[in-house]
Amino acid sequence: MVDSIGVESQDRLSPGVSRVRVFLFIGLICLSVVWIGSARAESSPAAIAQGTVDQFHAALNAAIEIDKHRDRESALLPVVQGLFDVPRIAAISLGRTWRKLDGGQKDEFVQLLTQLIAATYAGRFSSASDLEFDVEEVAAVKQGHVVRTQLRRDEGKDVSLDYLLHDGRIFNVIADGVSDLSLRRADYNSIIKNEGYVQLTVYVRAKLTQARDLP
Amino acid sequence: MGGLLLSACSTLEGPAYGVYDPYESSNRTLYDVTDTVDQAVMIPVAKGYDVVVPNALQQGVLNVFQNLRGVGSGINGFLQGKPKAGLTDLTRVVINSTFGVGGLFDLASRAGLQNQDEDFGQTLAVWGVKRSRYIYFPFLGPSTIRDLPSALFRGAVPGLILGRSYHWSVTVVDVVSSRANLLTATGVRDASAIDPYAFTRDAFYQRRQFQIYDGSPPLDAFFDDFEDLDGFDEPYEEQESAALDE
Repeated sequence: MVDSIGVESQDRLSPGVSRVRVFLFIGLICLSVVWIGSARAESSPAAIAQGTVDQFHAALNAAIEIDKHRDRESALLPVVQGLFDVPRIAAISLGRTWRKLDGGQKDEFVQLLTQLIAATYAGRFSSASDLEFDVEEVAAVKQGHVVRTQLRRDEGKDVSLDYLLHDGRIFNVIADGVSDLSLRRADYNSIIKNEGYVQLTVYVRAKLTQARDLP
Repeated sequence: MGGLLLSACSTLEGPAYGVYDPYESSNRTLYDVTDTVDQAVMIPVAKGYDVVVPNALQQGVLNVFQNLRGVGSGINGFLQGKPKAGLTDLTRVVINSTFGVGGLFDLASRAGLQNQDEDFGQTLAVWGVKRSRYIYFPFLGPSTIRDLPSALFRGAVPGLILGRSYHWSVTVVDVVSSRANLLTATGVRDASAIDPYAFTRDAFYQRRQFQIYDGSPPLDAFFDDFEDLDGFDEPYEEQESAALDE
């Protein structure tokens, strides 16, 4: 019954309408492929890497509108906790010393470093001048992703900002070729070598206080 | 002479483009002396210059000295086998020296001809001198043996270009203007660094690498500096246990 109705109804259609149906069907398949492809692309590691950097840029643009340093830092703290791989940053910065610390010391240092990173960005992105971040390239490399961006400012030259991500989280930011993580590692290891880990934590706390003293 | 320097530098030990600081003790002493003079004299003078001289004029002064160094940058572009870069710099000099009133206005940049910022240190790096000892040259700042000739030449350029019309005050303006231009960078150092010597040295090395690659170092090189990256994949509490087992 159903078959006969179907056959009858198809038979009653003109050849032109039938062709339209075929084209519509093919079009729907193509759209589905494109939709599935874009959905996959959105969740690809490269898209996740770019999404992380985009979220960070949006947070910086929002934070720059906040007047007080302490409030900017408070706004950026959860962003740094969520988007940055601070345990990895701490481990690379401390090198061999990291492995010698107990769990409590590691937690304490990660917490301190998270606060310092948030306070540092709160200090550097404090003026109300317009900022624009352009993502130029997202590239997969052997151990993660590099998101290459340009920071365009109303005043001053553009700054090249390259983000290094591992498992979708930022662990290094390179500004005009100068790596934040490499500098931190050189700086911290020099202090550990000459004065020890405990003294390093004293200095890092002092830097945090210094950063928070900014207007 | 160039060949001798090339062979002398290229036989040095140390990581390619990495920090190689065998003279750290004496370098630190020279850094401390220079920093004392910088804090006492140069920074106050540079800050005063920054307050008194309008931003547009500061930029104009920087443009004039950049223009004077444009010929050297162009020649080094050609020496590095980059004729387009060399030609860009030389064209910039012609445009900015004439229509830009002796280089005061950087009209070439507005026309899309960007400064290529080449020097002989970068040329030596392109020719194969990738490893070079770090030296902190008093009052000149961070350098390497490879980069020292170009750093010294940089200071002599105004005298060589201007000839008889050169006056020592030109060098004073050049030095003060350059220092004022670095106030933001040294401010970042002072805000971030616990050991300013180590911070300055590593920042210099990385910046030079960036310049050698014309702002586009190979992407994998970004990760080469962190070989142990996968070792930190585990949660750090677990890693501690692993370390204790070793």
